[in-house]
Order: sequence, then C-alpha cells, then structure tokens
Amino acid sequence: MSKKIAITVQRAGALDEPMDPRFGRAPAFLLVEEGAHQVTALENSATTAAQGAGAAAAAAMADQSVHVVISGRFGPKAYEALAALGVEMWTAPGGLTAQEALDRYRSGDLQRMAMETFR
Amino acid sequence: MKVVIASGKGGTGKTLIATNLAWMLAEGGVDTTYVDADVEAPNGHLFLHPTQVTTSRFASPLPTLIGPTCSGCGDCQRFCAFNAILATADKVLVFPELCHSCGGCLDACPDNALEELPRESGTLTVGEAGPIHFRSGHLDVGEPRSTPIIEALLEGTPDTGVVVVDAPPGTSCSAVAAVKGADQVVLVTEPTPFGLHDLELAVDLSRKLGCQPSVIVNRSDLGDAQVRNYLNAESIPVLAEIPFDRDLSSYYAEGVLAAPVHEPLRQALEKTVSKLLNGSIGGKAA
Repeated sequence: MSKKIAITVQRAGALDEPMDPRFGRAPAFLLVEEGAHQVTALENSATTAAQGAGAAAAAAMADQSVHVVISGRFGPKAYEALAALGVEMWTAPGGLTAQEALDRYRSGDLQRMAMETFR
Repeated sequence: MKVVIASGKGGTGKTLIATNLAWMLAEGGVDTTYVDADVEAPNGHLFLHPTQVTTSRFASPLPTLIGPTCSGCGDCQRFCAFNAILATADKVLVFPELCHSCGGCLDACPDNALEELPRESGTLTVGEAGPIHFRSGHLDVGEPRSTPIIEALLEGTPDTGVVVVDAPPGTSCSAVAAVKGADQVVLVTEPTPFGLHDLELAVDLSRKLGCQPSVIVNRSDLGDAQVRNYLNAESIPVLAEIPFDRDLSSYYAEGVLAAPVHEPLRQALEKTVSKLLNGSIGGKAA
C-alpha cells in the first residue's frame, strides 16, 4: 500500500489551499496518496467538538489509514493519540500552501514531531 | 434548606456573605452547615477556621482496559461523546481529563474488556467551625473537571437545618453543580456594568434550575443605577444592601469574620436571615 499523507488546511479544496496551523481544530484535511496523484478533501468533523478535538481528529486519521500528518502544531492529546495509532507527525512553518508543505516534506525539509516537544 | 450564595461575577463578596451568613444562622440557634463549593479556589476556611478536620482523597471512576478480551472493535470510542477514549489496533487509550465517568463505554463494550478504576482529582475536608459544620473541596491543580467533587460535597450534607453553599463564580458547569437543588439562591452583585452583565447570566441560570433568586447588593453606594433598574424590572427581591466600608475590607483582608464585630454587616445579614427563614421571598418553584 502506498503512503497516505494528510495536510491540515483552511478549506476542503485543492493543494493550492493555505495550510491551517492547527491539527484537531483545522477545518479540513487534504489526503494525498503517494504515487496515485490523487487528492481527497476531508472536512474535519472534530473542529467544533466541545473537547477532545485532537483525539477525535486522530481517530479520523486512523479511519482513513493515514500514515503521515503535516500540520503547524499538535496538542499533547493529539500527539498521544497519533503516536498510539502509529501515525507520523511532521510540522511545517506558517504561511505555506498544502502543495508547498508537501514539497518540503518530500525533500526532507520539515521537522518530525517528537515527544521532547512537551517536556 | 439549601441556600446557595452565587454571583456570576467573581469578587463580588460570595465568601464574605456565605461565611458570615453561616455564623449568623448558627448564632441564632440554627443547625448550620457551610459548604465551600468554590473548589478551584476555596477560601472559606480562612474565616471559619475549622477544627477536628478530617481530609479524604476524592476519586472518580475511570475506564481502564483490563484483559486480553478486547477485539479492537472501537465501540467504546464511537460511544464516547467526549472523545475521551480511543481504540487502536492493540490497546485502548483513555484521556482522563476528558472522561466524564459516565460508564457508557463499559456498556458499549461487547468484550467486557473495560473496568472502572478510581482516579483521584481532589481532596475533601470535613470539620467543625464552632457550632458550624464545615465542608470544603479542593480540586487538584491541572484538573479541568470540578463538578464531580462539588456533587460529592453536596451529597454529604444533612437534610435538616440550613446548608449554606459558597458557590464558584461564573455560570458554567461548576456553578450549575453548586446551584442545582437549591431551595434559595442568593446572588451577590455589585452595581457596576460588569456586575449587571454577569448578574443577568446568573439569574438566568438560577431560574433555569427552578429557583427564583434574590440578591444582595454589595458596595451598594458605588457604581450606577443599572443593577437596581434591572432588579426592579425583573421583580427580583433585594435581601440587603451593603455599602462600601474600608473597615469591612480590612477585616476581610485579615481573615477576620466580620459579623461578630461589624454592626452594619450584622444588621444587613439579620434582615437576610429573617427573609430567608420566613419564606417571604422567591426560592424554589413549588
């Protein structure tokens, strides 16, 4: 199975959408399957959750069989949930479009999120 | 009778009123219990100085994966309205701060793989402050949910006499937990735009919980007329008005119970006590 990447975006659109820096509260995800040249937009139903948006969004990633998530930042519960689900977390700087973030990920220019961030 | 001292706005004088009201009631021979339900910042003990104190740890049930029977079906996760439980391929992850201890995930689990274990989140204190029975709760730092410990505090109060509840500020879940089941709700306010704004919310909360509130206006000689106009328009009874008094502020700052030594406060609370006890004001809907 090819690697599936999710990028947090401000609207459920195409790869020229600006990224949303949040994970759990991002309005939407763009799902990119490496090699398949196909982009699927997924509304984030957790964005209006009263609590636990990070954990709920992480569960949605697992439902979509996502391997890698690219976002601006991940909260502690989102981190714990995604780590338990075996999903990699990569952080991108602000102001990028989804395409730019994807290019940087592919060229190895993004940071992988590690537990040390919370210590 | 359960009398809840609430406010909406913080810093209006809930604890001043609640502690001194409890003292006045007890002084008048009423069997009185004071409950400090402001569990995120309890301070009633600073004025009542309870003795013969016993403390106990408070715990709520938290679901925990117990055995190898979990099939990873995810029914627990789908059931949870609070996103507090996450099923992964090989384990169940519980976020304690998000869990409301409803036990629903245990019912939803077809594999009987979950069990509830106690998880501590605060401390309960019970003692005697002279003739006043004293109860207070203290939520642990970092704990987001105060309602369970407030409910536990109130569950243990006697059915006889008067229970004075010092409620947390605001109108969120913790204030609701303190006000629920009240026979009388006394809202302490101040005649300022901020006081009025939060008073309106607190009145709404009290009425939604089935109790017509009454009001004590603190620092009544400051501010403007908007609070009084509002109270008149809503026909909300005023139990007492307490003008600003530097001596009263000093007593409070020093942790001194003012009613025994401060005549104006004592007189204001005498009126309050008689109105509360003779049933001439609002209160719980029949």
